[in-house]
Amino acid sequence: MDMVLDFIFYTNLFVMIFISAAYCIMPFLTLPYIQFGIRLPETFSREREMGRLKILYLVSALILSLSFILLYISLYRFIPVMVSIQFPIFQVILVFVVYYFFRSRTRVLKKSATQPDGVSQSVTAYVQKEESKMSILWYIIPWIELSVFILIGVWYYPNIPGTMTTHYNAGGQANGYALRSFVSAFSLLFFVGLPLLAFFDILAIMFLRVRPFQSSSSPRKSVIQMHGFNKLMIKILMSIASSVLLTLFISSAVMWHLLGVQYVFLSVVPVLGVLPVVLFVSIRAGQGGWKLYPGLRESSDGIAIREDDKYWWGGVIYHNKDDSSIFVPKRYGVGYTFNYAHPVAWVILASLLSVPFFILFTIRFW
Amino acid sequence: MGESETYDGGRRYGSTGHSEANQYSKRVFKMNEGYIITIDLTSSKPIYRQIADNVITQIAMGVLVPGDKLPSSRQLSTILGINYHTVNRAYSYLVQEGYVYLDRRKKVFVSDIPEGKREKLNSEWVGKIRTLLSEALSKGYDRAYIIDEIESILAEINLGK
Repeated sequence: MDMVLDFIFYTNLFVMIFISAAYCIMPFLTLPYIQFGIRLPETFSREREMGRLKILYLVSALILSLSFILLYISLYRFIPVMVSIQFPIFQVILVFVVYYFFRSRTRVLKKSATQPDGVSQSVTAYVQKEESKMSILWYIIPWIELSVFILIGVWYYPNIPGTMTTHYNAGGQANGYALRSFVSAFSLLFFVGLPLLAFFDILAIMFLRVRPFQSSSSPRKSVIQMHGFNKLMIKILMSIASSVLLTLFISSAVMWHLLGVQYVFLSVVPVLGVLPVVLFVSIRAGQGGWKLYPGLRESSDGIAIREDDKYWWGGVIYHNKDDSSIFVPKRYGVGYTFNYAHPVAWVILASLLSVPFFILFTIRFW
Repeated sequence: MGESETYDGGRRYGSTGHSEANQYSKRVFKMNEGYIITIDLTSSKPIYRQIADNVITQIAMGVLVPGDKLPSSRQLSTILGINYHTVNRAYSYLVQEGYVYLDRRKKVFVSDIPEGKREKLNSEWVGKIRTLLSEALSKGYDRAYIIDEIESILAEINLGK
């Protein structure tokens, strides 16, 4: 039991450190004209105050996160269950409160800077003659990986014991069994891995078409950077697909008795390995890829603004009935979010949420 | 500093410096050929007409040539973040006026307006010009100024060709 708690503790600590780091530097990753989820004019007269606000955020977020992590480590010895399970939830709430405070300060700054004349409400978008494409190799690699794993299973199949252990309790004792058959042996790879990979491919195709942030001063640059960003995200998505497949394979191998039960913990490693990569890419690319291709220059007056704050509830949830997009770039953060006014978004969300349940269900009943 | 720039309808493109990264950026920039659509949300002119007018301008400037594929209404509505029906209406207007056509798979292409059809468009077009010129004259602009403005607008549009 202690071992499991320790495991949860260290996993959480690792996740908390990365999430804290991401939240501390977030205002420096988001576009200069979208701060704390609020769109500012691209030629903003209160830029210096905005800069100071961002530094203030960084300092307060840093102090809060560090003290929180220290509290987490020191309290773990006394109330381990509460600390390892409920603390991350507290942290998320705290982070949101800090964000919301700075968001309201930004709104005040925007109001004080907006001149009634000179700023027009407009849509400025760059339409590419040819759609952007992506090398098919990125889509194929996870499929090759899955085939290799299945082949290993087929090759090892005669050595799989007649009764496989399919489930272990928290103490590492076996408590679920299944008779050996092709269906039971390949349940994870076939019934979880395969549909998951197909689903990821669909997501990747949708990501490639996510529209850029509208910028009146550099619409073309915005499109190019967004496409660079979309491609990076697809590469990450495919890496996640690869690591999930690896996890499924390790779990299957344990079930086949190809690996000992102690290796079950290995299955979390590839998933955790994705976190540092995501953070690194976020810092490198910035929101909507605005840090990519730094040599590009495109300048225009940029006086117009697309006032779209009203579609973003709290700067986090996007709801726009007039928008046919299913995915849009995040308003505060690096990545994508749903247009919750689009019915297909709910379908995708439901399928995403069903994945963990589906995995649990498969492990439990085969 | 060595700067290379191309001039495109009032916008300046290019990159500063000659480092390898900049050369790469420049190549990427050239690869992504396209055009800008601007819509004034505060204007009294309907949005669908503004979208259509943007396309017509790009055709006149030679950025869009006969046979070029336009994004589907759904794609364009995603790019602009504007209601799908509005974009659809802009496309129906463009089809009706003969600037674009739909193929069997409902894809939108810029049309090559044939001689016969151009004559049919002609009378309507002359009517529009008559209205515009009458407006200008009744507001007291003198003849030379009007001709000057027309010349400079034509030159500006031709810049793309």
